[in-house]
Amino acid sequence: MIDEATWIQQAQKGDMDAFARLVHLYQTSVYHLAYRMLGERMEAEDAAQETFLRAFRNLSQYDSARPFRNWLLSITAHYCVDRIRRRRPVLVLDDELATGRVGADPGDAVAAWETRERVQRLLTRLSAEDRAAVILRYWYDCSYEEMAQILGSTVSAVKSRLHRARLVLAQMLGEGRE
Amino acid sequence: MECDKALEQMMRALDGELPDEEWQVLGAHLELCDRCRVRWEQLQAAEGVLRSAPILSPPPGFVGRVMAQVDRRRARRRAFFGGLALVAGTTLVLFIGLLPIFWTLPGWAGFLMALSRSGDVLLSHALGAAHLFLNSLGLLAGALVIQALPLALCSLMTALFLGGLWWSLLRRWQPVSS
Repeated sequence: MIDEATWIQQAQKGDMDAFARLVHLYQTSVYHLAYRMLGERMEAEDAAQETFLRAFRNLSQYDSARPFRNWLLSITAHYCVDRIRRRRPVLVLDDELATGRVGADPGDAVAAWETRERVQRLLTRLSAEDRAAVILRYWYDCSYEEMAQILGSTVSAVKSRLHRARLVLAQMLGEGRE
Repeated sequence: MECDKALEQMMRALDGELPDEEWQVLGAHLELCDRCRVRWEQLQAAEGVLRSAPILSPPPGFVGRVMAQVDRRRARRRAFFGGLALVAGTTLVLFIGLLPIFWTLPGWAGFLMALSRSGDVLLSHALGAAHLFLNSLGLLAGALVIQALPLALCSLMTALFLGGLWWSLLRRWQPVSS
């Protein structure tokens, strides 16, 4: 993105229009990560808003050598992990999940909803950190190095997180526990 | 041991990092090992489910809501620092303004008593009072150290009261958003 660096510089000087352009550009990236992490639309919007507020407050600390998107994703991921940790434990009933699925409706919208819900159910079974690793890998095509940078971890740690998460997801699918 | 090696190869295969020759080794193992074959099928199924899930966009009006929040936080921040400046300024002004009065109080009392008696002592007391007043200005710096504490506390209490009043008025004019 040719204008991104200029917008960032202008936003760092307090230009609200430039910051609004950055929000517009990255709103889907940030919101999607928040939604996949938290699994609920209202919470996801709240988290995405908080991410941009924190980004605005800390723009002076942004290192331009790093992709701006990854910097935003890092703020989002950390915020969501903290939020998940602060949550009270929720009792999830497998039977409810199994019977709560939509019936054989051929509509595309329903099919998309079903896929989304199915994936979301799988993700919520993972720990917050493992979930973040899966999301960054599968929806953001992040390399292990990028994932490590975003999550503030090491390459070997995120690799083992992703491998563990894959095994858990595969096992749940195999046992029909999604 | 062979299964551990196969699992490691499966992960690299999912990352797209498995060379052709190792694919052949993995394939040979999967033909012989039912457990690893099932696991590989489950891993691929999980891969398919994750990759099929769509990217989600935030609800309409998201950028506007973020920018409104940014504006509100900026205004609150300015108000906070304004209140802080008010407290600090009031403390300083009251402190410096009241100190000479307290400092010269005994002298002024003597002057007033002499004035009530009148006579030739009046002039000497008037000169004494003028001397005290000038002296008090000179001694102000020393007084800041010696007799400052009670006065500073009085000033601070007044300033805090004014600061609290300022903050409550701001909250009334500009309610904090949820």
